[in-house]
Amino acid sequence: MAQKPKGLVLWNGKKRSDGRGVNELRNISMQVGVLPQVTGSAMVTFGKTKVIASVYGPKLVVPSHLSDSSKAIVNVEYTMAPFSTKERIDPRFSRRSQELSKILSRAFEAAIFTDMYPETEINIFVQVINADAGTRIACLNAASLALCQAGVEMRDLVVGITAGKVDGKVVLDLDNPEDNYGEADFAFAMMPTKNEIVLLQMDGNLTKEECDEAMKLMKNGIQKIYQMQRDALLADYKEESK
Amino acid sequence: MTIDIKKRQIVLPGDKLATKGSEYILGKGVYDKDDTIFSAVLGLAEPDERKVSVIPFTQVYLPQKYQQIIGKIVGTNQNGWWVNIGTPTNAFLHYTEGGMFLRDEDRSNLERFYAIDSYVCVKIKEINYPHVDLTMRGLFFKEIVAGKILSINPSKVPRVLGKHNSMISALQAYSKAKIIVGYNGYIYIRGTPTAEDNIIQILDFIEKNAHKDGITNIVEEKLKSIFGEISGSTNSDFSNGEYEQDEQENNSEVKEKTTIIRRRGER
Repeated sequence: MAQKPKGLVLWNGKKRSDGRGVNELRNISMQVGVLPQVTGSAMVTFGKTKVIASVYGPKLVVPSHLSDSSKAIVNVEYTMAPFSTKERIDPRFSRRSQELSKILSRAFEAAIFTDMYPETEINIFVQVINADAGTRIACLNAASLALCQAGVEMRDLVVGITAGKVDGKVVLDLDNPEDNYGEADFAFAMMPTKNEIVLLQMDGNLTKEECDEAMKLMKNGIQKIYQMQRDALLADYKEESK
Repeated sequence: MTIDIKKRQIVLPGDKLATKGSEYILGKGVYDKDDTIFSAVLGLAEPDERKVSVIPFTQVYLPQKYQQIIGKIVGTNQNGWWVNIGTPTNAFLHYTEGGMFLRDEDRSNLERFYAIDSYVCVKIKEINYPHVDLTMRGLFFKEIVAGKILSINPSKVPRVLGKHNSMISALQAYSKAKIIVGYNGYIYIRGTPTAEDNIIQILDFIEKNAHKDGITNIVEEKLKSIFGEISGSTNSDFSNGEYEQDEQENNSEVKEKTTIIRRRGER
């Protein structure tokens, strides 16, 4: 965590730096089928964070010696566009993007019926267009929508959210200053109807009580985002679902 | 079994569909955990007395035995042809199943018979997943030499065919074109150029509205406005795969090239 600049107040006892309450989410928008060339795609924005996900497959594994005769391989590629941050970043595969790709593929392996598609691979590409905290969670939500649109059989939608501690207060859905100058940062994803956790990461320090409080906030937030995912997927078929 | 959803309700992965009773069958697109049955895909629920299944809006083609499909030749070896049929892995067409008698010396260059990138109408002979064997033994299975090939999502094929082939026989009767529907989503169309374009437009409409009720009537009205009433003796009975080479095709010295229309998500 970086040194907090003087005069920056993240929590003033009532409101956060951008005027939100403790359990309020940023403006979230979700759109399915944004890319016409692929079977499944989605765009998700969390405040200023904007990501695009696309899904190819199930298809043949290249190179073929990596294939598994009992299940499909889930590959996730997390990349940040060079223009996504304040200073240009190297778009090549870095240590950070390798880690995020790995944890996202682990999360989706838990949700997808991989044994339905032996000797194949499912490729998920997530691209960060604009980074403003919580990119891994935005990518996870976008990839979940894209997978569902592609018709890949899944146990449930995968829904993620972040929480953290700023100025001694546990809050939901961190934005960029809170992420940079807060005391802790908690990323969390689950399958809401199954109540199964598929991703859990934390940076910084929280006591056991604060941890429980953060989990409680995030579980409530996840129900809201889950409803948004459902609405985004059903948007094309709205007349019929009434 | 107690069912919690309405017929033809749109469901998402993880939605609860039914609670198991003493007798139940799991259909396609569903899974069970403990005592409950859940949906695994985005699609329309089809509950029955004992069986519950979900018809997906989009899917990857999973082959079934004896299905008629259209495939693309992607490679050859000493024993036959590799065919892309829209599944994750390529299918194999053995030279003895290629619809002709071949001598041993012919086998050195099988590309002479079915060239790479040409399209063939074939049947699935055997599945040993992920390996699929094809055959061309039968009346209607041959190479496709002229016309247009359209590719749609395999989950929409039942709607394109219609109940008892009603939709596709109407299309054939009005347009007087020949249509073969492959279960893997490839549709072969052969008629006059304007008829071919009109059919493609109508098939686009069917694909987009496949989840709605009563599109056969709308399509028939569209057909009437485009092609006019059915005149003369047209055989409206559709037999999927009946493909006769017409006189024009046999007489033309220069072979027309098959036009391929590709869609999203195609390899």
